[in-house]
Amino acid sequence: MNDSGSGTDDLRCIEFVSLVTAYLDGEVGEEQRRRMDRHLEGCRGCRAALNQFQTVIRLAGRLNAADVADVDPLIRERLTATLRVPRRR
Amino acid sequence: MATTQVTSTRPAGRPLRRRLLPLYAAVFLQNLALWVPIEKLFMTTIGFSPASIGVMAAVYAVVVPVLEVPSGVLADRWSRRGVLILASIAAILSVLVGGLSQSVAVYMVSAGFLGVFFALQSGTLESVVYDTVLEETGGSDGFERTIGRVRLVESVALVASALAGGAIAAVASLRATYFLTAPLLAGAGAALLLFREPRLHKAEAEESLRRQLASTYRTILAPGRLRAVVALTVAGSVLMQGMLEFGPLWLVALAVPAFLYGPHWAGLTSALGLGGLLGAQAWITRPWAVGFLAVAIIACCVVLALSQQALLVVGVQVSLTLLVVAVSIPVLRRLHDAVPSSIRAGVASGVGTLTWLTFVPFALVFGAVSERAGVARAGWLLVAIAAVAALLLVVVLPRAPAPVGEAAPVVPAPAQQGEPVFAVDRFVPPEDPEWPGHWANPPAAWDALGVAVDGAGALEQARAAIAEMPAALRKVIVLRDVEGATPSEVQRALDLRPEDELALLHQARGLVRARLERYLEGGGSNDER
Repeated sequence: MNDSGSGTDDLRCIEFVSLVTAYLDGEVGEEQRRRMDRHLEGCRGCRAALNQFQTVIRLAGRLNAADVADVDPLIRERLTATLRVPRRR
Repeated sequence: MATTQVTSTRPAGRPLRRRLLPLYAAVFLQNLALWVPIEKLFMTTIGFSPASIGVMAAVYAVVVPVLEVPSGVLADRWSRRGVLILASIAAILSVLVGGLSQSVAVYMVSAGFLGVFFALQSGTLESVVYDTVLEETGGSDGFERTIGRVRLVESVALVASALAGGAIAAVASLRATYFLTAPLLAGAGAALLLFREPRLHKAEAEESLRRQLASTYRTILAPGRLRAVVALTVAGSVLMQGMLEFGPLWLVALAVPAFLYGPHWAGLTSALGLGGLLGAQAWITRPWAVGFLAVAIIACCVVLALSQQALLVVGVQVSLTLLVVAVSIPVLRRLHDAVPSSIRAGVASGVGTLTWLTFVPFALVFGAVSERAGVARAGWLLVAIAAVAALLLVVVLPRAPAPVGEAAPVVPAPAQQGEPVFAVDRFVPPEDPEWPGHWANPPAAWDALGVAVDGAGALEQARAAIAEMPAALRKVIVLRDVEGATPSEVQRALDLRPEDELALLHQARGLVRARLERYLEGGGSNDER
């Protein structure tokens, strides 16, 4: 049932995934990075988690800001205008 | 169009306000339509029956969307101000012909001119305001505040004219309200002549108009979640339009005196504004609020179908309008988030057209039923639409309680609060002697699932996940992963401590990850529940 298959490192998977973004950003210390690298070697689940985060970053990089922008005010006006049609009378 | 997310532009100052003054005046005068509150009463005096009122509403609903496209092109190619002045002229012709008309046929001509007025005016005003703000301030940040002022001026004018129109009709004649409106409209045209038009015309959409239209309609009519959102938008609009178009028929049927038409109309038009305020509240998408709104909307329609009490009918009509406008605000937000930016404007006008066209059969049937069986009977049609709207409301509106399956209790990790990126129950419990904190339910390798991880479907899921996440998270992931800014740039732009920036980014990526996981493990289906 357990997929981590590793008893040699002292890092728990739950801890690893909480540090994934810091790891990818290079924001973990030297010692911590080594622990994480060691853990990755023996843990298929955490490798998948890391890959998933990399996929997220890759997909986000293919978007442009307008795709995910907050409601553009002019568009919101136009949308709201569809509800104002009856105003004519 | 350029909206700025992080950097702020100069505040819209006094030059902008001074420049817009003639426009505000024109908007005020253009909305002082004294004849509107008593129109249905007047129409019955010159021979209209409920059925012919329905036909007129239907004809109108066909004419406006047909004219809207050419009027938009005219505004872009020639002059926005010119189009607004033409709109005033069409409105003057409409009230003069309307005031002089003695028959159904002549009044139809008046309604036609009114359709021209509306098609010319709608959309043009917003664009003029947008471009003026952009020209004066160098950014679009002031647009919302400015258009808010325009809407306020409109509401004041509508309420004032509703009350004044009812009073004039009571002391003078119904026709007088039409003739007295004409000089006000002429004043609107004159005010527009004083307005200095912005020169920033956006002629972007034309070259690929056909392609854009095709993708717009494909998006609107494609199966999936968007269809429910579009259907709800249309149902809500038909309810509201039905209320404004046919609501006064209840007063006619109950033989209410003319002066009461003013307050009735003032109530309906102020409900439009108040409903907008109500709809902006965050709690409106909570499940209990959605449930209440759904039931209340149906209940209002049932009362209209059953009641004979004039005051109750007026109160319920105002409440119904208020509630429908209120729910429409978050529905529009869903519509906005559900489509990519390139076709949002097209989707907006496409949904508008769909609304008009849906109103055509509604108006014809409603008019015919009112004529045969009375307007209260026709009220059951409203009940039916309200029931559909209520059902869609419950499906579309409630804010999903964070990503499904990720709502388990939080194990705070270093420098991080909020929900865990992987639910706690995916790990072996900490008291386990052998594997505490290791995977119980490990994530899968996505490229082995048989769905294209880099395909358009996955990209769309990522887009939707980012568009729908809370603003605090969205800002960070957009800057970092979409726009490619460095951590320190983001920290500076958003005024965040390094550990907070990291925690927000982690959380944001986690939300996208969770949505992709549901999508990919569901075999690439669109259903996000």
